[in-house]
Parts: sequence; structure tokens; C-alpha cells
Amino acid sequence: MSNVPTLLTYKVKLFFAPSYRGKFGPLPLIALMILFVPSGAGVGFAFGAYMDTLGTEQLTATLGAALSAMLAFGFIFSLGVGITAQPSELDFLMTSPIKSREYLVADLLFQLTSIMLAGGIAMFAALIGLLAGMGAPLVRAIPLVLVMAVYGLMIVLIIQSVTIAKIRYPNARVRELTLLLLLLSAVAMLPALGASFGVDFATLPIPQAAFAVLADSAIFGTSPDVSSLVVAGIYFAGIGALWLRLSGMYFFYGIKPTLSGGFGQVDMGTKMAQQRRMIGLFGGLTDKIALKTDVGGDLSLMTRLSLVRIWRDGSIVFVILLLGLFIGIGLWGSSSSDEPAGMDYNTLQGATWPIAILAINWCYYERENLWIPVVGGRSLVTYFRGLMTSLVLIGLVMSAFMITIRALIQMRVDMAELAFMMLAPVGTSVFAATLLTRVRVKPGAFSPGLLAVLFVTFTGGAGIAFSGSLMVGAIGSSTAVLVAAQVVVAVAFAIAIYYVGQVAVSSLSRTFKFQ
Amino acid sequence: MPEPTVRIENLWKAYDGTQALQGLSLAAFEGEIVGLIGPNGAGKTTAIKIIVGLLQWDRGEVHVFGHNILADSISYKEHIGYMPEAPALPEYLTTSEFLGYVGRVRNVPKEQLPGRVSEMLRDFELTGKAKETVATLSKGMRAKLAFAAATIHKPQLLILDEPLLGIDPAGQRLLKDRLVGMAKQGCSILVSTHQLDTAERLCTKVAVIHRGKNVATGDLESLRGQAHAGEHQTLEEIFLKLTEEAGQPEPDMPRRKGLFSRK
Repeated sequence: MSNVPTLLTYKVKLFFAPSYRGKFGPLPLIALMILFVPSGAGVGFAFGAYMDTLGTEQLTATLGAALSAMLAFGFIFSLGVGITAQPSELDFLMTSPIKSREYLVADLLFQLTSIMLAGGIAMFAALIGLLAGMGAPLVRAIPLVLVMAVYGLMIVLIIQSVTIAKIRYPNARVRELTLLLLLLSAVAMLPALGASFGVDFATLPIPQAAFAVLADSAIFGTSPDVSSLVVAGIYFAGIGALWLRLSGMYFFYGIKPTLSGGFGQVDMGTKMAQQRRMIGLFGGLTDKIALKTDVGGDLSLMTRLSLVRIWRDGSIVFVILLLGLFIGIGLWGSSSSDEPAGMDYNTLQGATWPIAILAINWCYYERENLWIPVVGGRSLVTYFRGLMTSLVLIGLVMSAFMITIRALIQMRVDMAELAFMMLAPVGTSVFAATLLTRVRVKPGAFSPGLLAVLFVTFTGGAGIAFSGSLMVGAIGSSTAVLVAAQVVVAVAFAIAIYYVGQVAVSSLSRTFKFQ
Repeated sequence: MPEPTVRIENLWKAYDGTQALQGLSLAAFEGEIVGLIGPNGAGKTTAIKIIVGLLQWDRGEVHVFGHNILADSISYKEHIGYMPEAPALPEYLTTSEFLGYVGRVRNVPKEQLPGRVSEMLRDFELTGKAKETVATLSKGMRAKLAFAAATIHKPQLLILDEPLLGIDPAGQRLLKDRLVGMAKQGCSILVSTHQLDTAERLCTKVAVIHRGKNVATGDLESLRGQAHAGEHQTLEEIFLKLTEEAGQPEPDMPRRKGLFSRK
């Protein structure tokens, strides 16, 4: 175990160094930690106040659901990377005479350290807030933290064990078993949503239920339930024994590098390798749509090039996932209300964030390819106009999908709402393409360029959508003529925004700086 | 004396206060293969990026086909081909789509494009990969594809930055034969390389660049003379001698006198 401190120091430095090597030293990192303290305490307090209104059974079910979510996250992580190793660790540390267990202990300590450094203060504030919200003495945070720490440690041990088992026993269907356990963890969250199917999850001998009962005892200051203590102890000891057995095995050859280049950073080399894998994986399917380079004008070529990229490089998956998420939330929200919800914050997010994400992906994956038109003697005007057109087209398809779903559920379409959902992606695309001619995004959460792309496109798109829908709404819809006028105004407004965007992008891209 | 295809005069370029080029001068004529050799950080890639229009310089002049590229920074590019060191390629395109895209950007007429793409794929032994995405290609195949893209429009000036890196011997031979063939047809070729034996055999002229300036230029005989080297000394020995001799303190960049000048 003599190498553990060295390995841990290297991992911690590698992870946190990029975030404090900037102009302001460690201040952004400290600011980020402090920034989430009030919100952590606030959320904890609100949650505590809510939990105070629940009966003991409901409280245990809610805590159990939260712990199940943590476990499910652990299973998801173990299905992916599992053990955190950056490319340089693979090249230099894992080729050194380091024992598997030494590396695992260092990784375990690193995961706990990074969680504590990145979000520990906010999490502690949330726990204090929770106790305060429930009116419980704050000193009970100590046993509560202890229970949570043991549970967290157990999850990290599970993650490491599953990862090693995946590598060492490739034919043992470890992945399938993990997926099954993930599904069961998800099912154990259902009681918190009021869907228990007659099963009392709190009494089942599962770890999250046992730890939830123990957390309950910590909050209320009662002596811990013996049976839960035994169940939790058995699980912890069993997982610990499994970890002890597996951690002695050599597994370095199966480790994949993590995507993160550090706290809030992205390792571009790994990201590009991941993109290559994704393109290769779906190649047989995505290549069915081909880019014909010998037909169409220049704007058409550049628009199709951008669409083909989004279709093939995995960006479309982000669009579908985000859209699905916001549609799902929207449906959940609208089912509890009779009011049309087309112009709500959720719809706005669904119509804008996917475009902003596409813009970020462009910065990561495509910007470097601009050397091709630049050295080819082409101005980038057509390129950026094509990029903007492709974003508008994707945005309109997204909105059409959302409008169709809303129309099917609510059986009516409000013109102002329609204009809002059509103009939001058009406006967002215009702002995104305009920004991309000027902003250079560094791959990290602290990049001002990234934040600018995300928030300027969102607020710009929102502004356009609100102003357009207000204009359309002001016309009124009492007669067929007025409705027709609404349609004309909405379409004209969208076309005007598109053309203003084309002019702005054309002008700015003439002075685009590639390097 | 014919007009050089590329003429660089007293070129200066600094990155954040660090001088990358310190008065570099260079010329390449029609049909010449000019090798740019020099230690890491000598300024070879900086000079190349300036010629192809990817970098702005601080002082000096760059003429391509007799035209000052500062005066017209677009039209001269129609006749140049460029292959960067470790090129970023659109991973999501198939090899034929990529060549078609570059062909369109390089103004290859649409009706000639499919034929030209097929020809390039055949010449560079990539026909079997025509429908596969760039993401699936090996390092050597990517280099061959980048080379094909640099030459798809039959350029009059070809600029290559470490083109043979990561390519197997057969692939290297293919590219070198292609370069010699293009030079015979009158194409000027500027190639940056660390492979001195390749430069010795392939290039008609070699420019030794050190600390951002050209310390010697000429064919092997001429370089021997400039380095006072024996007739059996290789380019590697000459290169080491020239760069060691040139290891004197760096000169200051000439500056315009301004209000706050000390002199």
C-alpha cells in the first residue's frame, strides 16, 4: 500500500489543478463550493419541511427512494467507466509496477475526496438544512453523515467490484446482472411516487431500505433498528468481501479513460476517441443517409454537411434525449393541470437547450475542421449560413414534434402558443450561429465562452419567442380572418428573424479567426 | 530569373512575447521540392501556417505566385494544396464524401467531382474504404486521405507539414513517388520534415531553419560548402553543424519608434 499516497496525490492534483491554474487561482473553485451552500441549505430545508409533514412510513419510503437513486447512479457509473483513470494514468501509472489493490484504494479515496471537495460543503449544508426543516437538533447531523458515508463507501465498492468483474469475467453476463440490479433499484424508487404496487419496500431485506431505516433513526434520535442494522451490516460485509476478492486481480488492461480532464474540464483526446467509437458503432445505420457533394448549391452543401454531422456524430442522441426529457416533464406537468402549458418554461427549455447543446458540440467537434474551407480559399460566410440553416431546420422539427404531442393531448392549438414554439428554436439558432462566429469555447465548465453560448442562445431565443407570441396574441383569434392574420404574422416574423440572422452571420463570419 | 512560386522575406512572428520567426526568408521555384528542416520549435509549422493563411504575421512579406498575400488573401489559395501535421478531419464523413467536400471547396467542377474522387481513392489505395467513415481509418490511411485531399484539385504549390508521419514504408514510397511526379509536372512543393534521410533523397533544395530564421539554403553540395563540411558528410551531420553554429543569442525584433521608445 506504499504507493497509495502518491497515486492519490497525483489523481487529486490532476483532477483539481485545471480549475485553480486560471487567472484567479483557486477563487473560482472556492466560489463554486460556496455558491451551492445557500442553495444546498435551502433545498435541504424545503425537503426537511416536506418530510416533516410525512408519516414515518412515507418518510422511510422517501429516504429509501433517494438512496435507491444513489445506488442506481452507482450501477450506471459501473456500466460505463467505473474506475476513474485519465489517459496519462493509463500510459504512465498503470504501466508501472503498481498493485491492482493499491490503485483501487487510491481511486476509492480519490472518489470520496473529490465528492467532498466538489460538493461536500453543499451536501453538509443540505443535511443541516434538512434537520432544521424537520425541527430536529442539528447535532443529529453526525450520525446521519456517518450512515450516509458508510452507504456511499458501499456504493463505491460496488462500482469498483462490478468494473473489475466486467473485465475479468467477460463471459459471465456481469453487464446483464448489473442492468437487472439497476432496474430493481429504479423500482425501489416508486414508493416515493406513490406507486408501491402493494409491496412494502421498507420491510424488504434490501440495502437501501435498511440504510433508510437507519437514517430515519439518526434523524429522530432513536436507537437504530436491530434488523436493519444486521441487514445493512451483512450487505456491507458481503460487498467488502467481494471487493477484497476482486481487488487482488489484475484489471488494468480493461480500463477505459474517463471523459473528464479534471474538475469541470473535458479531455478532448478522450472525447474525440469516444466520438470515433460512436461514429463507428452506428456507422452501418447512419451512413444510409449520404452527403452528395456533386449536387446543389454551396449553401445547400454546407447545410447538408452540418445535418449529416449532427446525424452521425452522436449529437442527434443528445437532441432526442433532451427533447424526450422536456416532453416527459411537460406531460407530467400538464396532466395535473387543465391550462394550456405551451408557453411555459419547460416548453421553452425543450425548444432551446437542444440547439444550445448542438452549438457546444460544434465547438468541440467541428470547429477544428474549419481549416479545410479556410485554406481552400473559401470565405466562411456560406459555411456559417449553412450551419445556421441546419440548426433552424432541426429546431423546427423538434417544435413540430412538441406541437403535435400537445395538440393530441389538449385537442386544440393556440396560435400564440404555436408561434412561441416555432420562434423559440429559430431565435435560438440565430443567436447560436452568430455567437459561434466569435466565441471560442474551451472544453471546461469554467469556460466563459461555453457559458455565453448556453445562456445567450437561451435568453435570445426566449426573447424572440416571447416577443413574437405577444405580437401574435395581440391580434386576437375571434374570427377566421384574425387567425389567418396570426399565421401570416408568425411566419413573417420567423422569416424576418432568419434573414436578420443570415445577414448578421454573413457579416461576422467574414472576419472569423480560425486560430 | 523566373519569379519564385513562394517568396518569404524577413518574416517575423511572436506568440505571447515568444519569437517564433525572427526574419525568416525563403523562396521556392516551379518544379522544386524544398525541404524545411530544423529542430522542434524552429518555426517551420509557423511559416507554413502563414503561407496557407491560417496565421497572421507581425512583419515581413509573403508572396505566392508573385502576389502579396496580404493584398489578396483568398484567390491565391485556389492553386495551393495543404496537408497539416496531424490533420483534423471530419470523422463523420465517409472517405468519398470527404474528398467530394474538399473538391467542392477547392472549386473542382461538379461534373468532374465523382471521377476525381474515384481517381484519388484508387491512386491512394483507399477504394475499399470509400463508403467507410474517416473515424474507422487507421493512422496511415488518414494520412493518405489527407494527402489525397491536398492534391485533389491538382495544385501548383503543395505545402506539407510532416506528411510521412505514421505512414508505413509502402505508403511512404507511394507518397514520395507522387511528390516527385508532381514536381516533374511543374508543381512547387514545400515539405517540412524531421526525416533527414528522406529530405536528403527527396528534396531538390533544403532550408535549414533554426530559431525562426533560415541559417542555410541550397542543395546538399551547397549546404556542405556553407557548413564547411567534408564531401562524405550526410545531411544529418551538416544539419547538426549548422544548427550548433547558429546557436548564438537571439536577435531583437526590429520595432517602430514610438512615443514610448527608449531610443
